[in-house]
Amino acid sequence: MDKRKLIILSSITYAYRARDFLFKKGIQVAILKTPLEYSPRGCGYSVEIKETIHNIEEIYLELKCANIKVLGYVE
Amino acid sequence: MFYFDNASTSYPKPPNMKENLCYSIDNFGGNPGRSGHDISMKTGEKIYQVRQMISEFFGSEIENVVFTNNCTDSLNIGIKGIILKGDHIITTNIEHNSVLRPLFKLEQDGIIDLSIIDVVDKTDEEIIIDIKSNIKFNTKSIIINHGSNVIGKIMPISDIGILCKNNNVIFIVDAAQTAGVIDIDIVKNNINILCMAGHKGLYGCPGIGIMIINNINAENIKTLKEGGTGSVSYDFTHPFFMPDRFESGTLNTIGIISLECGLNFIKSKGINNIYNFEYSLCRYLYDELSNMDKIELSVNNYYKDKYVPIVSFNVKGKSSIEVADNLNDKGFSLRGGFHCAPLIHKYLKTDKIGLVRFSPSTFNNMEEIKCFLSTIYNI
Repeated sequence: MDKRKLIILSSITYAYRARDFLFKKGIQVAILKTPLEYSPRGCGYSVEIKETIHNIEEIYLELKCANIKVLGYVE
Repeated sequence: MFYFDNASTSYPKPPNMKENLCYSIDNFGGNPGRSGHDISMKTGEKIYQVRQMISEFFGSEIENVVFTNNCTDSLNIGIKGIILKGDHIITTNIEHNSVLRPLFKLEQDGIIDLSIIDVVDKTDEEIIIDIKSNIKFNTKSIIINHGSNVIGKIMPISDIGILCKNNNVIFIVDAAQTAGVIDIDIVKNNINILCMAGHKGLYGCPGIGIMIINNINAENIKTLKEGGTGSVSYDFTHPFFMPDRFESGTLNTIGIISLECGLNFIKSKGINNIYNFEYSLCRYLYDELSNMDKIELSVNNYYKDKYVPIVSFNVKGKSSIEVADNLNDKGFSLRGGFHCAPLIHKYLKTDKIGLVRFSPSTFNNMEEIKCFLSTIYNI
């Protein structure tokens, strides 16, 4: 089973900001409620990157630099 | 019935508002930012879009737009959020009770030292000089009503913003009467906390307000309430990040979505066109009332870009409530009384009789004004 590539955000507002930021970079994502196994701090939202070619850590760092409140990532 | 009380709340709303709201109730009925199902996510997306629209309208970051219950709510959050014991606050005598009452309570409780500047008959330059001369070592904030809800005077917020920035003072602006009527850029005007109603010049529904922050750390604004935000829910500590920090509990989603309709309406008309049109109605009224001996106007002049579209007056020998009641009987909706702004009435010496306030919207027209004048003439 393919591993999921998720970037975990602090809230839905940041999930939409991340989506829009990544869309401008040509990266399509889906927004979903963060699966509980990846959310030690409780409820939140994530963006899931379906394409396999992207380096998730790089994307995470880019979002962080853009002041988008990321909590972590999963790959 | 001719409605001239838009400073209280705008009426009517844009033509497609009813249809918009009905559609919203059916299609955006989820709780945004809580669940992962399609209905919640669709509602969340819509709320985000409105937040984004507002951020673009006022020149802010998206997450710095906070939805509140009304302008009073926004002002209470902003004012009480930044104040610490021993702070000095500067405000003016044209403020609404949504600013005065929180400040008076804080003063009475011994939390703050308060300076109230008289600005009614002062020029912009005189106002800046007075504010500057009142700044002390412990001045935390300057809180200004952008446009008076009684006399319509527009305050020089751009210059005051520069003054605040240069003196490291938090600038809070009450834009209840100016949002949607005058172009406001929160960054260019160096505003730190911008508060507004959604249901006046923004043409949204009652029960919605907005607070926008800029160049101030949200962690340094204390919360008035804490609760569920749908985010980091295992943390007992209330979130520090925006906008969740100030949006506990379920949002007024329908009210927020009504803002989209209102903002689209304003954009379709053009904000400058809205102001110019409403000002022209007020200017005409002001000039005609000036020629009536029995009318006492609240201001001695009425210039473009110096006043929001509000004209207040009295009929000699009558209380403002009596005149407003009389006008209501004849089909004209205006507000008489003190307009929740006691200090300005004290200054104007209308603290016994109040003022009748005329405040049109873009839905009024010159024929209605002429009809109104005819009625006033015969009172």
